Amino acid sequence: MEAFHNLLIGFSVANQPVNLLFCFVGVLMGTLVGVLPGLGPAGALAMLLPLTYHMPLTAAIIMMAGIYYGAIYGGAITSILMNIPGEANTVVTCLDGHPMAKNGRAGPALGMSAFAAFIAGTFGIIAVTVVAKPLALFALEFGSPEYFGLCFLGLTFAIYISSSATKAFITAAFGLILSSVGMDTIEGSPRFTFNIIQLWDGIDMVSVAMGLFGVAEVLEGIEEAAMPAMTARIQSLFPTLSDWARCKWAIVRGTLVGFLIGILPGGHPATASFLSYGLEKRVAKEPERFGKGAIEGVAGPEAASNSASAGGFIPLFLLGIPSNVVLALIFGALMIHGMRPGPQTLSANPDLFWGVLCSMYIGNAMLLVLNLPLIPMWVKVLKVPNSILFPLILLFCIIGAYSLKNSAFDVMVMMLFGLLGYAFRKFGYEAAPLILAFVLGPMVETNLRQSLLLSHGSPLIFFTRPISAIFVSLVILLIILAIVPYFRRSRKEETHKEQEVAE
Amino acid sequence: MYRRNLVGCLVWLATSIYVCYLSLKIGFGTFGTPGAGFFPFWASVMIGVFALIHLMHVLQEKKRTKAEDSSKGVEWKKTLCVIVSLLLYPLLLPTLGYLITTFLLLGFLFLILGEAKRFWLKGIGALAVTLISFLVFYVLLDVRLPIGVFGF
Repeated sequence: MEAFHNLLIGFSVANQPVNLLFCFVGVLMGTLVGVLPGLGPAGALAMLLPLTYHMPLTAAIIMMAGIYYGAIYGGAITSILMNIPGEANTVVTCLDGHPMAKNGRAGPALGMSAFAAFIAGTFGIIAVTVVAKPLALFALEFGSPEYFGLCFLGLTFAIYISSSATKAFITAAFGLILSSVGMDTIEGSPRFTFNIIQLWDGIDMVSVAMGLFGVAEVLEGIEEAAMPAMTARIQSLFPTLSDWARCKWAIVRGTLVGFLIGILPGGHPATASFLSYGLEKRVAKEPERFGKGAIEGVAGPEAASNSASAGGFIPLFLLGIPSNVVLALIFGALMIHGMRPGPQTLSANPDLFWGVLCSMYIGNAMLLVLNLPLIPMWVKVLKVPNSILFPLILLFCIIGAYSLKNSAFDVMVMMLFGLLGYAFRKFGYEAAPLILAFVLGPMVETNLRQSLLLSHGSPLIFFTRPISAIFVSLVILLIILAIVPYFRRSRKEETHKEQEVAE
Repeated sequence: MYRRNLVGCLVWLATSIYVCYLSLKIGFGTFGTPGAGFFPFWASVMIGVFALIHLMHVLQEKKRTKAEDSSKGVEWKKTLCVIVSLLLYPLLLPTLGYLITTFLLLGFLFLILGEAKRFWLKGIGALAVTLISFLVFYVLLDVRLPIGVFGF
């Protein structure tokens, strides 16, 4: 009954005209961003963060959430039509979506992608409704050691699933250092300011994000060749009855997998989509169909990534832990508005939490109803040349960075981080762990220092409290799992060489 | 990629040592009363440790593959020009103001990123985008874009 009451609150907030408008703007922009390979919801959110200063908080978060799941859908369009993944979580959609398009079934692929996302999104919201209250009550038991453990676990898990865990640990640790630039909140002394007065307030997250994702993307894009032409023809967008018969359980499994991944600190829709694809291939009666146009290979991963995106709002709002870089930017927007998400969010800001949740349901419906007919328009967007698109992206980033504090210094910071982001890409480092660590850094540090103050310097406090002990043990386990392959590979090579010498 | 990985590891090791030094200078404190340098110190130790692990892996990979870097033919000149223009932009912005600096930047980018023809069209395009963005953000959205020494 309480859940029903909460949903009523949520829908009453989400259905306010201004929130409906921003929801529509969000899903439209999200789809646009998803269609354009490279820019990504992180870059789009980074560019829009300054604009959220002037918006009501709920509307701002609704719009940003719309961009997030809209981009997931938009990414599927280029994956299916052009075999170019628009986003990380639509990489898997290329595997079977594009072969379907080549076989003249682009329409059903696109349609099933949208329907699967809608169904999964609906389930995700219902599941959040059920899980939210118990989780919030559980999180009230958390003290500084638990929060330190959870933040660090979220960070470590997100690092562990990166393509190179050691490189990701390095960039994350660098992000933690960058987060400490400015005045120390406990001692009040400046750190790493190098006598630059603008650094006393710290480095602005928006400049960092726009640089690492927006500017760096443009710099890398300058080098790349022109995009291949779109040749797939789109006929009917509706899957057939036999398509539905094949996909019904794939959607159910994808939804469950996605939600479970999404609610974990560090869970990412991309991880969910990969897991779902692997699962569908494993349980399929004819696994040889996968990679050649199996519609389950589109439905399952799309359901998983959408469900994960809904689930990710649970740790964000109720624990104050963003699971991935996009949610970290939404977390940043909440902090900009002076709101600190945590277990008290449900009681202190029910309108915000339930309003955003219900707006996601409405947004999913908008994606289904509006975006399917707009596919030809999105296809046209793909034809805008980079020579026009890139300068416009840079202009938007510049205005966004300048408007933070009306300072050219923030624009310079953004450009320098753009250079850093570009260098990262050249040297094979990922920027996402850096921004995640940058956002979580203050929380990690504060809780670490408070815990040590409580325990008079004994690090055993993290192991004597049960919840904290579980989190910290998992962190240690993940670090070991990340490092062991390096040593195992070295030992195998030495053994192989010894055998060669013996022969 | 070997050379890039090696350079990357060495840069991170140097960063780790430097930040450790700065953190100790700020004040490590004790475990019971952690100072301002406590947290960045351990973060920089983390960088150093993982950089060393990665360095060992890179050196092992070199022994195994004996592969040399083969940089694909990237347009370094174009990218470098864009980088220089982006770094100059915030330096010129307070002096020349938003309109002039942005027009110069956009004109340069349209020229260098597009095909080498119809320069006049690109100039007009840069001017139009600059003016429209000024109208939208400065006039309509009240974003205080900088006015330069020329008064506009």
